[in-house]
Amino acid sequence: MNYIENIFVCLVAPLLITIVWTRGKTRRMMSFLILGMLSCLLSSYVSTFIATSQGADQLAASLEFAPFVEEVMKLIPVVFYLMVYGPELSDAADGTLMVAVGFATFENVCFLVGNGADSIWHLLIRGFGTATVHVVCALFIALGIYRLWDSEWLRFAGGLALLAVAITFHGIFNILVSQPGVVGIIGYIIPLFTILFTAFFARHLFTQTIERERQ
Amino acid sequence: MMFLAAFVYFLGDLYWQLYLIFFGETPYYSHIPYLSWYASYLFLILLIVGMRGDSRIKVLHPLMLVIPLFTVGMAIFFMQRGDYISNIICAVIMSILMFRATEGLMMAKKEGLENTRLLYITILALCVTEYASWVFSSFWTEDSISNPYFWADSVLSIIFLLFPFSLRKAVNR
Repeated sequence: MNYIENIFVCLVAPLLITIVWTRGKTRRMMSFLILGMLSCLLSSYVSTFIATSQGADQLAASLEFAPFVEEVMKLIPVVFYLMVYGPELSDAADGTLMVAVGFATFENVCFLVGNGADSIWHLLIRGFGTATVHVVCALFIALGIYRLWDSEWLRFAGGLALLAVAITFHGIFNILVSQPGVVGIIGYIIPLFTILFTAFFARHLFTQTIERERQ
Repeated sequence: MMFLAAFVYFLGDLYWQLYLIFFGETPYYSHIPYLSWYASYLFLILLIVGMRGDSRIKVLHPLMLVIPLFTVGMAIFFMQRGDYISNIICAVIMSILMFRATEGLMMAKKEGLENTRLLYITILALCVTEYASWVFSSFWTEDSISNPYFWADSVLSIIFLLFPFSLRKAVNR
């Protein structure tokens, strides 16, 4: 047993204390970090429940249910924030990334507890690979928030479509890393290349909306 | 939008192929590839709305009513072989896509957007070829060149190659 609830409590406790003593954007970003960890915890329950009810094994759950469940669970706090608080789009996009970081962090800690921390190279590849895939998927959603949220018609259809992009990308990652050897390593490296590629175009993708917000 | 439509379609194909390569079978429980293909059609709808600059429907020719009849009929046919929810979603999205593309084609001359005709024809060709490939895959399953599904898939690849050309023609007014 991993006792992931206990791990969650241990990780979240100092963050909750930080929230009490911070204000403004720092407090919001810490909150999103906690919500990301909570999303990871809840995703494990939901994925397990769906897999069990469908009679699927652990591999099928990881490849076919987990991407869908995890991306939807990561999206829920951001959509709630957008619909209820109506924040600036850049704030919501930063929140999306922080949810992804919280999710990836909690996932990596649970992996460490379950598999040990003896192989630094394996952990480097797994740590950066897993974190990057969650951040890349969050970037797809953040792109949707930046470019499509202003239009009511576009935000729903475009948001769904970009969610599908994130889910499929995550699914491909899970397929590749489930394989041993070189294929698994390639799977971990692909998100790193994707994020480098995205970094080149981030300014163009997000600048237009940032300038619109400034006007 | 065109890039995103092609990219997410490619991701869906890639997921399907990787699953087949590494596990020797197509995904059993998952609708992840279907989700990405539906997202591709959604992006094409968004492209059409963006091209026309208006999400409202401006023309309703009686012939256009054939589209929902066709997609609903196809959905009922495929429900005999697959699940209900994904076929309903597919019917709705394809109805909207074919409806908007047909409307755009009919309104192209009136709105002075003749350059966009090729784009709408390409989108409609994509939809028809998709349905053709789905119907062929229901009846022909052998791995041979005589399987019409392979021919439909090849036509689909050519259509995707036509998209950048038709989009460039549409935006160069």
